[in-house]
Amino acid sequence: MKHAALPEIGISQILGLVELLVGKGGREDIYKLAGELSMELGETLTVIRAAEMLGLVHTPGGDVVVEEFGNKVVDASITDRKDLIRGKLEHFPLFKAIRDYLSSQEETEVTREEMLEKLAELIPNEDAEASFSSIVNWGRYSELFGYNDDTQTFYLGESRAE
Amino acid sequence: MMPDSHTLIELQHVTRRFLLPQGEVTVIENISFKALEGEFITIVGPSGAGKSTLLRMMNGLLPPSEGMVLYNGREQKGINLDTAMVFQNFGLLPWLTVSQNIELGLEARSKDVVYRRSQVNRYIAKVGLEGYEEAYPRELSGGMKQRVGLARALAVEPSLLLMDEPFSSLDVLTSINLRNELLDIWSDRENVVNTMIMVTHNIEEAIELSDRILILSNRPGKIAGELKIDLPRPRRKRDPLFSEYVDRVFSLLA
Amino acid sequence: MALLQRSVVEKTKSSVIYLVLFIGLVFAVIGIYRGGVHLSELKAETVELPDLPGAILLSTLRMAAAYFSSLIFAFVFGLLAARTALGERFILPVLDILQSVPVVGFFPAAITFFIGITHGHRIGVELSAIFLIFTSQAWNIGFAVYESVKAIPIENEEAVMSMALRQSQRFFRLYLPASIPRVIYNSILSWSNGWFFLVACEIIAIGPVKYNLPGIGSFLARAAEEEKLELVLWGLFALVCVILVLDTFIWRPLTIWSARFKQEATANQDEEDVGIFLDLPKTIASRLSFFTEPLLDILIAFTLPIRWFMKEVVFPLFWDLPVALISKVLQGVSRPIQPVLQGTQKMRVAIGYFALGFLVVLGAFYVWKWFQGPLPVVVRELPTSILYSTLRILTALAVSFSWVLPLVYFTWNRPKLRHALTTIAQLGASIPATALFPLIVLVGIRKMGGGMELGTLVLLTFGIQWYVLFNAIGGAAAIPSDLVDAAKSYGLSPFATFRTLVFPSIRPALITGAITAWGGGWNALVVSEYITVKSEVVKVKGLGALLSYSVYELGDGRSISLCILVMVAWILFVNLLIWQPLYHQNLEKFRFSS
Repeated sequence: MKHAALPEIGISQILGLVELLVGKGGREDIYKLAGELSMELGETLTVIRAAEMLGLVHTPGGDVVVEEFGNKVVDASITDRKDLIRGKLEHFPLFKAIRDYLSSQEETEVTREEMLEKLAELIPNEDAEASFSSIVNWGRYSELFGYNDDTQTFYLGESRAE
Repeated sequence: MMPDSHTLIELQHVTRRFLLPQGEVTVIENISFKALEGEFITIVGPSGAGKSTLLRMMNGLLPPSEGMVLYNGREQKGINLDTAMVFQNFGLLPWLTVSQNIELGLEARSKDVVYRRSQVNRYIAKVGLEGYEEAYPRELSGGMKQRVGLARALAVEPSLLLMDEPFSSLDVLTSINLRNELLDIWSDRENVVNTMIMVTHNIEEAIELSDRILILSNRPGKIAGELKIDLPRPRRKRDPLFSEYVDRVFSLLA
Repeated sequence: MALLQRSVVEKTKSSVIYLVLFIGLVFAVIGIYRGGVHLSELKAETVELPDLPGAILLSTLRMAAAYFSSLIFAFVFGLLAARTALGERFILPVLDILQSVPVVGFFPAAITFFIGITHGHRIGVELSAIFLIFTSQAWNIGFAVYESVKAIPIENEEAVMSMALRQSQRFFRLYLPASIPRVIYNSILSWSNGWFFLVACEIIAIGPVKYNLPGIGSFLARAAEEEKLELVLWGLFALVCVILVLDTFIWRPLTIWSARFKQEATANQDEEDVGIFLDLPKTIASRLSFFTEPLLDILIAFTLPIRWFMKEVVFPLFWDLPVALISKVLQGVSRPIQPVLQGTQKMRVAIGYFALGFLVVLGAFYVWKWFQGPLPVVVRELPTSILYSTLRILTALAVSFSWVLPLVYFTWNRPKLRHALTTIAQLGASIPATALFPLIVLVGIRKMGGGMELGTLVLLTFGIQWYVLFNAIGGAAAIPSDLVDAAKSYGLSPFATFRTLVFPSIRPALITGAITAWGGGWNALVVSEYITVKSEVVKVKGLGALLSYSVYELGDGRSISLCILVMVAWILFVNLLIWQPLYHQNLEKFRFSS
């Protein structure tokens, strides 16, 4: 089964977008937004798409509107936010596939190379290497899986730092 | 947070000169001001006005050429261990992980490894970096790196937090996010830090965050004005009072 | 070191410093060789037969001793140069000059000094050998430390400062890690250099000067002297093996490990191919480091109590405390002095120049007086010697270019071939040409009657061609790919592409190669123009031969100092007036603007 690639956008930018929108009353025209942020339209769309994937906003017409969930996240504390977002990511098909893959391994871990191969299977027509860093980033944030660059291992669950 | 009447840090007639190849340059001239405990102060001004130098003198990184820096009423000598600094370009050591970078700040202050580790974990949680403990700076986005810088500063539990344009190297959306998280941390009752002094060139940011704004003029840096921000937090840019303040700052800068 | 874009004032100031330092060198050399050199007074002990493993082990140990001394030196002075204004002003030019001095020129001095101190004991000879290897390694690594510390982003330094870490903590947490990549890279080069001089020291040991320095160099020389070709080959084989083993098990893993300390470390591991890459597939090489890492871990665990002791007791007591005290004293002293210093600055500069002028005149007088009386014999020979030696190096350079350029032509756009060439270059560069002397003498002169001139030239070329190759390949690898694509899209023929794109692009690299070869060539010259075989002296006309002649046959202090000083002056002269400007000129024209 093929999945959509993750947008290469950090969590901070997504949260920032939603916070900005909430400050504007919860709704804004996309073009206007891009202009206001002095960001390229393409980049703005990427952030919006990512926020949409997480259920924080939706995009009717040419606007971007904050969802109920988005409001919840913005109002939450730093720690609660993580839990909320983890809740969403747990159900992501791509993340589920990755977690299943990891669970099936001995010691629930794989090497970087193996993960890249797996990603190439899961995400068609995309540069697996590029998606890799987003996935690591979001995985770490949600603490769904972790990555250690020293040993180049990808593993399930919470961080194993000493 | 209601400011106490107790003066935490005070600059008395502080002047700072630098010896450059082209001769001696006076970066800051005869600046005096007080920061009260519990205040959030921002320092704004054109670049080159010496804002960063001012901050470094409060930290103790640089001594004043003339005048005194008083902390809790006593003259400051050397690095002030009750302060901590957050840098514009993060200042993280590339060969240390997130945890190790945060722990570094504690190494000079405590030999108790258990204590240090627990502090590190505590503040990683406070800034939302759980999951990133073993990551290296090269693997992090700008926003995450600055969170590490923040955690490192907070972990030593300073009374005074100094920030040198902490959001300038971040993209717009990330800075919005981090600013809000900073306010969250600021209002956290559990915090040891209650006083913050921040340098920025972003006027709106200054008005959004601080109780008081110090406006510096260009070389040599002198205090061109001071402004108290009497708006309740959270502050909205659409608020007409907000724009009024913006205008006032601009006029003082001119 | 960037000399680009400096004001005229800065250039004048730095030239003055170089001048002052050179004058200092003159005094030092004259002082050292005042009493002449009497090497024949040394004890004679001959080493008999092949104890090859022992010889190679001893040589390696000497190298290690010199290397660790170099590291200490490099960190002390590199840090001082990077962190203090005074250090930067003076230490760098000193290192630069020392780098230009042909080490072998100080060889006799080192020997007489150390032997004198230890009263002819064997340990004195060992120490002098180690000292000489040290002088071939230390400056290079010193520069590495300096450049690394300077490259630390200012905020990283400020962050560490504001944490109020102790001096020793700052060193181990910031300055040392930041230096590791460049230090390791330069260490590999330094070791190559070191092998060269080690072998040269030991070879020179056999000859009119008979003292005992068992090692691979003397082994080879002895074997050649006794015309045992087989042994010579075995000796060479052993040397190459040791070099390769060190590279595989130490340098290669260390280089991989050092990548994490780079400031802009990316997840990409683009080969910074420094060590000899023995056809080992990449995976095996990294598995080897995987192997050494646990060993390192064990080592670290064992040394835990020692490290604790050092960290908690030794360093605070012997490093932080003294430094803190000294800075306090300096601070206390400087505060009242500051205003006085500022006021009198112009006057002090004037006094400085006056004093300098006075010293120069005094020195010149002193030197003139010293050279009074019958002129040293060598003076007559000097001009022709310089000419011949220079011609020799230039010839060797020409020969090098003549085969390097065609190679580059065929391989500049074939990464795999380039990679292989780099490997060969490193292998070649690591084997000290001096180790081949005995072979050349044995085979070349004795058996094939080639004549010493040819022999010297062959040795010289063999020594310096690797620098040219290495730099040329490096330059070719750095050509931006979009320019290559552009050339292709215009349908340029290979020859035209080479002429219009490749060659101009690699010109700065070629010049760097030439500069390095020029410097290295003089060191090689000194040992290749004058050889003793079976108490028979074979030499050619040249400055190196003149120096050796002065040392071994004349023992005359004035001749020796003259040769050394002329050589240094000549090298510096050509360097500063011809090579550097040539390099900067080409750099400006052909730099790829980012």
